[in-house]
Amino acid sequence: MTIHRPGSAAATAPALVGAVAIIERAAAGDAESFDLLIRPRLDRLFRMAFAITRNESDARDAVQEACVSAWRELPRLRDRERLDSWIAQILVNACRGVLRRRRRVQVREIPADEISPAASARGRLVTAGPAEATGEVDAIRRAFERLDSGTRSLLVLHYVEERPLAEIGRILQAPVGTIKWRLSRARRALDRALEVEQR
Amino acid sequence: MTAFDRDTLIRVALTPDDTIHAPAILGDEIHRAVRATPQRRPWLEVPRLGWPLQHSPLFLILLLAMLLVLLLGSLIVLSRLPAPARLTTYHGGPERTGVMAGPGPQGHPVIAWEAQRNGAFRVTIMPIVAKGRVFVADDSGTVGALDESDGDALWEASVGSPIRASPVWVDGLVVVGSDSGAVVALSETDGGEAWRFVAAGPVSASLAAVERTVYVGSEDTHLYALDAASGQLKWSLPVGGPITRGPAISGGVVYVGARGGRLSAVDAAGRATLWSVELGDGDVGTPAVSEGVVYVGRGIEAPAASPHDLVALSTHDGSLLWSFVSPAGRQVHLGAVGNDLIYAVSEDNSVYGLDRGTGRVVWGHETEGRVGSLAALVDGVLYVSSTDGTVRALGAATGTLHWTIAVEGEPTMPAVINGRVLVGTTRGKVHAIGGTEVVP
Repeated sequence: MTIHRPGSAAATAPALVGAVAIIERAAAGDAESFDLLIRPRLDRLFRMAFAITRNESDARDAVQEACVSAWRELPRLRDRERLDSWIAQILVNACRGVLRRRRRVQVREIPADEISPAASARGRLVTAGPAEATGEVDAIRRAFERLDSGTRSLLVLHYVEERPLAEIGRILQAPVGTIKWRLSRARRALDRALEVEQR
Repeated sequence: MTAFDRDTLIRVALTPDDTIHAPAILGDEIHRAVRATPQRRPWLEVPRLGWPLQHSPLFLILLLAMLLVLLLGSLIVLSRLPAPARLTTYHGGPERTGVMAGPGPQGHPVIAWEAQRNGAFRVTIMPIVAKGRVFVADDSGTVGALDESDGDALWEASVGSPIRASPVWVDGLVVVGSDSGAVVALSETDGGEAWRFVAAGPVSASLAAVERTVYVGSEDTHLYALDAASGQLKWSLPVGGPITRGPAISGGVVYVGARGGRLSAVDAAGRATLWSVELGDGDVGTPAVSEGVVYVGRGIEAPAASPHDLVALSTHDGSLLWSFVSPAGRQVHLGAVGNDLIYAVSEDNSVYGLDRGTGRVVWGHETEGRVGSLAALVDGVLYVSSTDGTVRALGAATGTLHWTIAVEGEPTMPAVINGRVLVGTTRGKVHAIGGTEVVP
């Protein structure tokens, strides 16, 4: 199994100095400039949306919705240097909206605050060898799909996107301390969902 | 391969496979959607100037000037907005004309909410309303504040003895008299006691307030003027008998009746009694003052042989202009003062529309019970309470019944404000009667 590690924002997006000028033109209403901004980011946005929604069609809807929202709201973006965080924030919200609308998965989502300490201890992930690990990975994926959209987004930003806590805080609009606490709660929620999945 | 750690397992599980990529046409789809979507522009776009210019004195001066203009504009707009409707005084205001802030309910009447209080309400009391709160005072000596929108209790405070008259709201205080003679001012926000004044006799007459002075009539035969902020006594005057009905105030003159039949006009600054007239046996009702005329019922609780009529007197010297006696000769009170008619409520179970200049009957409306309290007039509709347990809305011009609605117990004097009629009842209920149509 290969772990795809997304490149840093600087590696995948246009160099910042040039990007600011493109952002200004896009914010002034130039759709071609917006296209220049979005296309290099599209794959990363799509993979992030897929990681949250676990569904290609939903990811496509979320990315399209997020990009159109970003275009519409771009003139109001004051801090142009935080474009990536800002788009990620919009995408997370779009994914939440898509998941809310979907409700196709009939399993009950488990909000993080429903997790009891005893339950999370029973379902805690343990270290294992490669064969067991493959089974564990599948179980984690199924368990992840039981989580609510907010918990999913947080786990993806941390584990998949590997964004620093401060940036996650900007995206989810919460202080770093709160993000740390939510992350710990999200891990317990995943443990609990895993326990349900392994019954 | 060594054992996987927990975080690595999660990372592996959540990271999409390498086969997951944005569809090739997604970029084009987004581009087309973007071209078809207008951008939302901020209503005020501050030019994005470079560092030196953005911080230049000229830029800052321009910014400050814009903010000043915005501030002044906001102040002008705010000053022209209508003040939130209030109904701070028994019978609509210090003139006691019964004309209220309104509007009344639109459409069919419905009970919007009801609240149960500790004690019963005397029918001569009226809920008062200010800042989205309804203030009620009951027989148990409790003053309560209810949310005007849904009747939820916000606070309550006990003054220690029964309350028989409506409070008055003045400058954030709810001031109420009680049987012990205590006049207590409570904070509108939490019911905390701000000040207390004690008269020598019960205070059973509704209070009035004008220009930060609270006027209190007591059964100790004195009229008191208190500073609304501190409760300090400004002046007091004897009026020749126990005061059991609230004074009316208009044009710097306080009109107050006393048991024994005397009606006095007193300088609101307390310097002198301007005139007084003897109206016969019994008690004198709550006066109402409008355009140079005092309207007042006389002979309340007087022997049958005494006159029980509604009289119109000149504010100049108290001289009699006209008198109205109900067909059955029963007690009459002033209901409300309209533009062309005045309205009398009588203990013969009827409401009368009278010619304002002569007192001649223009129309009459009979109810199944005694019309127990004064009336409210709003936008050509007269609202009356009856001891038959109903509140009625009548056309003020003709006396035509618009609607009637039953409440639990005998209703108090109605307060009409913000699309609702508020009444207390002798069973300790407070009812808010709304309409099926939304009042703008």
